[in-house]
Amino acid sequence: MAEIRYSQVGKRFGSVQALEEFNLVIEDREFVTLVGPSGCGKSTTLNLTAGLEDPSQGEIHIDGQLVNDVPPGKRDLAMVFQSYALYPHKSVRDNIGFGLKVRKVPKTEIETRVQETARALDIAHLLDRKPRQLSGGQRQRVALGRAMVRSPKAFLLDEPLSNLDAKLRVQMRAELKLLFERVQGTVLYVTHDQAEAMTLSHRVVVMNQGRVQQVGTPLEVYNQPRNLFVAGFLGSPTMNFIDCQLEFDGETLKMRGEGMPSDALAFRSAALPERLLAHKDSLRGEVIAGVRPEDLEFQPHPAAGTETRRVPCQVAVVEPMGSMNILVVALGGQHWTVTTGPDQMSQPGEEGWLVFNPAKMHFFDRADHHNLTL
Amino acid sequence: MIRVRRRRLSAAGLYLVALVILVAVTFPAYWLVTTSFKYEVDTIVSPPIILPLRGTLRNYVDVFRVDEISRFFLNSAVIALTSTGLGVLLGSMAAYALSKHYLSFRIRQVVMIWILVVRIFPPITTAIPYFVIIRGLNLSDTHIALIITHTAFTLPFVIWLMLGFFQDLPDAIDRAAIMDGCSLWQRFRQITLPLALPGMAVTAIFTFIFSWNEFLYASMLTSRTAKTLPVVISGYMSDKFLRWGEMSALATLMIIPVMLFAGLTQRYLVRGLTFGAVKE
Repeated sequence: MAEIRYSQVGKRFGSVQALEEFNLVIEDREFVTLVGPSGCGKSTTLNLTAGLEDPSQGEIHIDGQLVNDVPPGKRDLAMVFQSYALYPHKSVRDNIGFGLKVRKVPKTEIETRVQETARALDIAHLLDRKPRQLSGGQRQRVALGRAMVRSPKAFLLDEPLSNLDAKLRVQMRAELKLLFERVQGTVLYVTHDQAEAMTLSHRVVVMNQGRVQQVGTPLEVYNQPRNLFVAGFLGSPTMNFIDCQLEFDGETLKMRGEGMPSDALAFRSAALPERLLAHKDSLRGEVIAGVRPEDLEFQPHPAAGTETRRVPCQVAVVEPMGSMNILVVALGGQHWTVTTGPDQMSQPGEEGWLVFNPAKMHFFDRADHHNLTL
Repeated sequence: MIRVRRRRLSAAGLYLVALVILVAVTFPAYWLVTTSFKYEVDTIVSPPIILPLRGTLRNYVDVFRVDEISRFFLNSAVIALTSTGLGVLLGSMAAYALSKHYLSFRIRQVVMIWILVVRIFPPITTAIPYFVIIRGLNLSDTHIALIITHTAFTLPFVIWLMLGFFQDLPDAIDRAAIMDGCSLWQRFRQITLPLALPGMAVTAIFTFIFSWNEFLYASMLTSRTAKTLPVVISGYMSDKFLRWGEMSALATLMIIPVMLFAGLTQRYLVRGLTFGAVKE
């Protein structure tokens, strides 16, 4: 197992800058996930690490060794592809053992290691089948087996679960987590699925347009998003964003969004978290407020003590999910998404109150979108 | 009711089209085979006899009486098989190189067009240069002379066809093999070729037929030792006679090896060989 270090790595395809100033150290045995929308540079990063592409600038070190000029086969990394990329004309046994065979490992040892890997992945009974005789989930396991059998320095996984159906994906996600905890491998995992990013990794790298937006533990990036993009990308349903005016006179933080009654929201500084107080100087003027749907509350009848942090609204859409309800409520000209408990029944057209919790609010700069409270 | 009738009518139309195509395709073969069993007088009467009521094996006996006919058969077989093998092997290798991104898109395009140019001008234009070169190399009337020219002629065809097959193979499989530590040659040999077998089979059949039937170069570059069957057939035509019977008898015999070759190759034409490899 090994540490992977990127310094100032960049990749250019013609006039397109696919990756820019990528700096990261993946620790030995760390599970790091690159997450972002398509075209954000995450797959490019993976291919650069694998050696399938050459960086236009910067250096990549694996285990302290500069690998820019080391061919992919000599980097001792294993890759799992989104499409599985099994060899269709070879049996499962030969698919898993092929990498060892190419490296001239003795036949008996190949057989033992293939058997071991197959047992670990619960595919020992499939060894003589061809890929076309396997289900999607089984193919996925074979692809994993092909990577694991070599005990490589690191695993590179390119959206390995995205071709599975929803139910299987959740199941395989849990299995992957267990598997890599057991193998104790260094893993670089690429996905556009935030649930995978959040659940699997030690650290998450959120990327957009070839640039790293934030690096941190899953909860860090979720609770303290560094900018508007990260805040909007993680979380489902997505965070509410609204243009608003802030005013802070030392005692109260007044917030007024479009269509809201003036002076409706006024948070006393005693109720504000340290995070906001520490940046009180930036909390003024035109900003973008961000609130996650689960941090808002919809109350049909206002509770006492919420007078200065609630605004009247009307339910527009109700989406019952079983485990929760997603409400879209209209507030002035704006729509807000709120989640409520499964037992709180609401009807479209119902009038009520939207209650804010200042401790859970984020404010972003309107010009450069950075988080003003970090 | 109207709907059913309309459906029946369109089905009948389809069958009619199928029948026309069937006749157009099979009639020449039927004509060839029946002529090979006709008496000489029956081959030249007017109107022609579509359905012969009497037949003879005379034409076949005459064909086998031709001096060294078995040797000409062998010549044709050796030349067609060798140039097919060489053409498919070299062409596949070239196509594999062109299917990868080692060269820029622009350069690959230029190379591809250039390769095609070789096939664009009529073979007769290169016949004289070839003739002079082959004679200069002292290869006149040898198998090698025809193997070289036939291979050269089939290469563009093989490259273009195989390129299509290689490009259809999922790139991820190639990348997986790279990660497994395969060299370029190992990838070609152990991954790409087995997957492109159906494509190679099709290509090989066409290449074989081309070489087997090729007449122009065979007649120019060989005289006796390396003479092939199409040249022998042309011997039945002269300004004094036109021997339809023997000509079609030999032509009928020539069809058999092609059928055999196609039959043998057909088992590689299994479709869906890549099924299950990747999920797009």
